[in-house]
Amino acid sequence: MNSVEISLTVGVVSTVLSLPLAIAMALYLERTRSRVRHAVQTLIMLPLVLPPVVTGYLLLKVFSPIGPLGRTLARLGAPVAFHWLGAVIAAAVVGFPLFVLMIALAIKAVDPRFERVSRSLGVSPWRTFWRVTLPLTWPGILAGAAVAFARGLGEFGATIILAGRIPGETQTIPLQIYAELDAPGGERRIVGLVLTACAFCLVCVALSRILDSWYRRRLELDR
Amino acid sequence: MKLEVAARLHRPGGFTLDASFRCEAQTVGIVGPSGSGKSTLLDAIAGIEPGSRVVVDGEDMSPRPLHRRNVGYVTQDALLFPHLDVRSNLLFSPRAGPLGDVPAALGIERLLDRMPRNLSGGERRRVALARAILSRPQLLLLDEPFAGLDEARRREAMSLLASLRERFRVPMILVSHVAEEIIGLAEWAVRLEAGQVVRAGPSASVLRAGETRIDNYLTGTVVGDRRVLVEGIELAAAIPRSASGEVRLACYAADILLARERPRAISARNCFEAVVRSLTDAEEMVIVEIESPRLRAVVTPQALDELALSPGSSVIVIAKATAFAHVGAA
Amino acid sequence: MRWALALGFLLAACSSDKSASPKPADTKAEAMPAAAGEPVVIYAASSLKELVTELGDSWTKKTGQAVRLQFEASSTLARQIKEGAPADVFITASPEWLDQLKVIERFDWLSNTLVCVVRKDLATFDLKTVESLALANEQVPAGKYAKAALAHLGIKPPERTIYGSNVRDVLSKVSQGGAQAGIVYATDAAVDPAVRVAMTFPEESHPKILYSVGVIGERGKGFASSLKESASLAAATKRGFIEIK
Repeated sequence: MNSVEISLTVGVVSTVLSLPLAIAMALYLERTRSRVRHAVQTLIMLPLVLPPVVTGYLLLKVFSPIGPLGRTLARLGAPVAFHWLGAVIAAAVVGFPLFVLMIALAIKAVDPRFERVSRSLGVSPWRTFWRVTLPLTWPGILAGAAVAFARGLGEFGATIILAGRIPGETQTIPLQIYAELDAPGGERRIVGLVLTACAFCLVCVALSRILDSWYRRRLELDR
Repeated sequence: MKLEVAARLHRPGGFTLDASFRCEAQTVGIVGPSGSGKSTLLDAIAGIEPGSRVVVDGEDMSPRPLHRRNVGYVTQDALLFPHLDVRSNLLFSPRAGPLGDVPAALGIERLLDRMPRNLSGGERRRVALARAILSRPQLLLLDEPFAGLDEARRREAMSLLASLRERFRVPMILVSHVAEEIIGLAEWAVRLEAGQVVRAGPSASVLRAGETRIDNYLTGTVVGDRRVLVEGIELAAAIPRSASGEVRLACYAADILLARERPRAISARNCFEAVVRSLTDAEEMVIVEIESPRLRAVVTPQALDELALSPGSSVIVIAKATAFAHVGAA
Repeated sequence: MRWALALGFLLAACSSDKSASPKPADTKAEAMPAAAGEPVVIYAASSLKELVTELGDSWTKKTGQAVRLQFEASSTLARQIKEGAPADVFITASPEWLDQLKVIERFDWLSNTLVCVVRKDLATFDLKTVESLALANEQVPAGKYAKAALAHLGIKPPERTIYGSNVRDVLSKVSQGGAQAGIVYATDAAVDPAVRVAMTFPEESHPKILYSVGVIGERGKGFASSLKESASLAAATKRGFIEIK
């Protein structure tokens, strides 16, 4: 796979994998009154403020191939550090805070009393999520996914530390650009890549904005 | 319905609800000023706030979460699901049966394919009410059902709720900060102040001095030019000339005068004999319930003594024609 | 509030430019020994880290002149110097990186051996069937030597080839388990206790490994000369570097 293919697959897989967890986290933060909520929120926001290399370093410590978790995962056929999965996890972890934040915003915009009414009519909390919350928040969730995808696409520091630069496996667009910058004549070779990366991110951000304003209109009109 | 409630709730911010009562009635009212905890009490009964004891007809609902309590909760803002049309909203509950005559009963049968955003406030409320009724609740909880309604609309709504109650036989708990609104519908009431129950009993007894705008609702047949036959008595009423057939009338208890003797010449066009059914003590006043037609009048304790009224005594009822307002077709 | 933010950004943007602009050469210190106050800035290939640090310490003890050391891949350092980084002395692992720079004087200094390392706990190893290999980036001298050595031996790099930005990066990939084996210098293998040398590449399999010293700033003349002294060379051979005859 070339770096564009790797970046796209890593981006898509990491976004899809973190989607359920991000929704769950956002629901937890917005719809429960747990007292540890604030501590949890701080923890979730960490990858947003930590330097990505630090995030990568911490992840490497967790998934180190010579450590117990790393060895178990390798035996199970799903090695993380210095493998494609590592690129996926690095992208997922750095994109997670933004993902959760945007879904939480979408949920916040929905009056919690709708969910209450649904439950009073006999619908369980689980079914209420599918019948009420999701239909009213999915554009916001998608907007969050677009942003998380874009963020994962651009991740460098955590990726290079956790997954390393393995052409054909973990060399994403940012990693290739970085390597070519040092190589003689490299700058010429990466012009296309740089433009591609910019284009992807622009599309994602634009999509996110469109979805964002769409779901806002949807809810306001109906209030 | 036999209802037993022991609600103990503490809200962060300092508000504490500590309300217990026990009663046996089809319609219960919860009254009190704003901030007294009425809606919180309703939330506690619904199970939105856990930790309160609620027993309905012998069944302890306390351990059950909201979605297993089978209560229909109708709030001031109708809260219709904005992404579903009226029909889907009505049939939302898994317990809902076919629509049947519920939409017609609430006058919304022509709105079924509309989206909530295209309904008026009144229409939305009626849809919300229908949705709750269709979920076959054991108990209907109505939070300030008459808030924001003008006089005429309020009377219509009261009248509607009364007819629904008869038709669908669902016990109701009504919350209102306007005590008089409740009296018309509730047999029993609880008055809350700062999270505590300060008075509980038959609804009339929970009223205070100054809360005399109690409504009487009567059904009768038009028999002449602005004359209505109600329970055997012909009344002069302020109904449109064009009205005919069955009509509903409303009149304030405060507009009913009682006398021991027939006045010889008086401008009031209504003057008839009736029997006192019961007397209820409210703070600083007495509610007199009259038999045929069923009416409530309110007098001071002194007046009561002077007239020497007691259950069973006959009394003359006097009221102007304008006291009886037309509420709508029956 | 918005003004404060804008001002803050402006200041931050300005301050980051400072490091890129080169300091004007100190022309006063022409033929005189370096003033004790100004430190001499030495850029060296990462494989020289321990040796040059040791030599820098003894230089400072002897002359009182402080040293500032920077270790990175020779190619990376060359690029930085070209863009104006303030190096006085540049020691590269491959002479060609000096060709593009303006040097006051230059000489060849040491050589090294190219080896293949694996984690100590790996029992058997065959480079032809290795699952994953760590190499330095192609433009890094060690990367070039490795590529040549593999080609000479007719060994194709495995599908999983992980690249490091310098030899020490490659070394850490092996000891962290990122790759089964890595190609580094013999002197690097000695530095990391978690790895062992599994194979030594014969001299003829790659271009001669040559550490060259370039004096870029006047201030560096003294230190550069000291590298040719027998005491320095002894320290080098003790670590496994090879004296060139």
